[in-house]
Amino acid sequence: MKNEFIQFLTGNIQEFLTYTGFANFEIGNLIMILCGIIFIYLAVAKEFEPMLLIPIGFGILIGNIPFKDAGLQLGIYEQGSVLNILYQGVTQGWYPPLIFLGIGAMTDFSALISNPKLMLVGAAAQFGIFGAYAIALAMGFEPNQAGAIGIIGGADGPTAIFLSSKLAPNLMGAIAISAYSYMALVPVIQPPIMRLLTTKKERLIRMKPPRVVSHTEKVIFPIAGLLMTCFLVPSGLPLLGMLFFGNLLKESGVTRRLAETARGPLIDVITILLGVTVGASTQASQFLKIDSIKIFALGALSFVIATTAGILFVKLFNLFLKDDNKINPLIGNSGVSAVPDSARISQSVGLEYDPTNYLLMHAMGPNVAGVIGSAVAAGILLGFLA
Amino acid sequence: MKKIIGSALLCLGLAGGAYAQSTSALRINEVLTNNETNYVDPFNNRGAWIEIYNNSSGTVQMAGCFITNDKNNPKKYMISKGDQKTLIGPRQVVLLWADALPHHGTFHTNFCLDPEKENYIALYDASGKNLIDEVTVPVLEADQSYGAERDGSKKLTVLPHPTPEAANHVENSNPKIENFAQKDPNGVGMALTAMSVVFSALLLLFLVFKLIGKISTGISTKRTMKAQGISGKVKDAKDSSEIPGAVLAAIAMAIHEYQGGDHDYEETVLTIHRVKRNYSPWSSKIYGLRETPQIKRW
Repeated sequence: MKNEFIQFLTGNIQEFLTYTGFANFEIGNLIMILCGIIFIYLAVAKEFEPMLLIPIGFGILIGNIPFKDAGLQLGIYEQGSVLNILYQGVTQGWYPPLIFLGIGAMTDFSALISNPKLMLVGAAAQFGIFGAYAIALAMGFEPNQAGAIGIIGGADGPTAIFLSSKLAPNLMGAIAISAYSYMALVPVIQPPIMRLLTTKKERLIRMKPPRVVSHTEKVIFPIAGLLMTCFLVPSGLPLLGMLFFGNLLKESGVTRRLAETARGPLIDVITILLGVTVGASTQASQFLKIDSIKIFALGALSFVIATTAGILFVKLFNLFLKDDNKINPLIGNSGVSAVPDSARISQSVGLEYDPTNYLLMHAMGPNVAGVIGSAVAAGILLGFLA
Repeated sequence: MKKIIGSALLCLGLAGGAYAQSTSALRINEVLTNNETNYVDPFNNRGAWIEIYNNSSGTVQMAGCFITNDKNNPKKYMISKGDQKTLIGPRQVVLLWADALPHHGTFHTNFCLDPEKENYIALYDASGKNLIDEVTVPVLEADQSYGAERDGSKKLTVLPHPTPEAANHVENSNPKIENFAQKDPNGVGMALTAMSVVFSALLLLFLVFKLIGKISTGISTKRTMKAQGISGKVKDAKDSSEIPGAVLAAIAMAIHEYQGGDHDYEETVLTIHRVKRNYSPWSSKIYGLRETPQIKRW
């Protein structure tokens, strides 16, 4: 009787041990856990996009705790699990438009409205998307996968997640992580390219101060923006519709409570859920593949192409502008829609060469135009390839 | 009162519009009039069948709609209400058995189709007045069906194989993706097309806001002239559209402070805020505790 009880206890313990993370551990889990810790380190110690890297980094840890597949509804890929339910917002693509609602409610488009030609700089930077698309095709990806990878060049996390969930759901984890990683690394990637492609004289260009933008113009902007962009590219509606709606809430001046909710609690909640579930979706078994490495390489290239295209476009544009109306090419990099990081880079690089030349306000123009441009580009890719 | 009536009318209009839009998406997708060896109904009978397709991305309720084979009697058979299966999912189909056996359930009509001659079939909305879709089915051979080449299309033909409760045309690949893979293997076509669209969209916005900006500046300049009592040409007025230097200086100072220019040793700055602990009944502990139970004795 006693022996039987001891056997029962031993059996129970052995059974329990098969459920632990140690028993189900694989080297891939360790690699991913290290990645998660690096993300958290970069966020805490270097303050690289902490709002994104902390949830994503911790999500990577959550997603890479190994467990026995015993139908306990634990993992993010197990239907009905808590993580799986939260992940629906990513797979069904409804987190990104809500993030765009918040972005719209916190973005001031005045810089763009006061100097609308900067919109074209935002358009030029979208070359990064299609450059990466072409390279991805050459690397053997299918057109739909190449489109989803190319959107990393738009430097817009929600857009990248939205598009990849529609075009290549199996690559979404790698695309999202790549997009957010490079957005965090904008301060590392962009300045050398900016210095390489500009002359000292160009870096010292002082731009005309922006004019005051009236309330009426600010109210017209989201309405006209929505009508013009979405009539042209209706497939961009989920993102652009929410972006401009959020902006109207902000600029109308009569829906302050709604605007504050959209740019405050709502975007915070969605950012938390989006970040942690995207992070958790990087289970080593799903994520550690050659394709993921290729996607990371293509992501870096797309950022380089986008930055280069933005700067070169400004230089080209300057050939047609009068002397007092020239654009400082250091704001060309901010055509990628990593708001406001890339605009901050323009500012800081500009200050290195002239401590009294503040480019931030000017750089915000192409920066927010980049948000619109990348959403339009996503709509086009969706329309062509979905 | 006028507002209430207006709102009610608006709601009615919207509701009516939404309803019409939903049932209007229904299509008579495929019909088989001469069933010899084809599909069998749950009662093990072979009869003529009519496939209804929801040609929209939303769920459509077909209960209350009428189906008929008589041009003069649009309300011949009402698809009964109360059956959950009358909800047709997006791009889904429902099969109606034209066997004149309505007591077999919602999906069995009170008329049958004649395999020896042409059959007219029409689908009406719940009012019985608005035609949703109609087809005239030619005389078909046994087990041959007549329907849309692609689900929901208006182009009807004799189909190579009957496909009850299934798509009329099956695709094993995405033609759009294959087309791009074949005709644009380098992605140049995509880049040119897409960048043209991106530039067009933002160019359009640029032109519109350039115009709006000019109008707005003109209006504000005129206002300034009026306020300053200047008459004459617009250029005489002081340009008020530029941000004043003082504002720019304030912004520059704010950025300078934000970048840490206000303290040499940021970490050593200690700020002590006075903590106020004003009494509030909401924070009172007494409201968070349950009362001590009292024993009542009689």
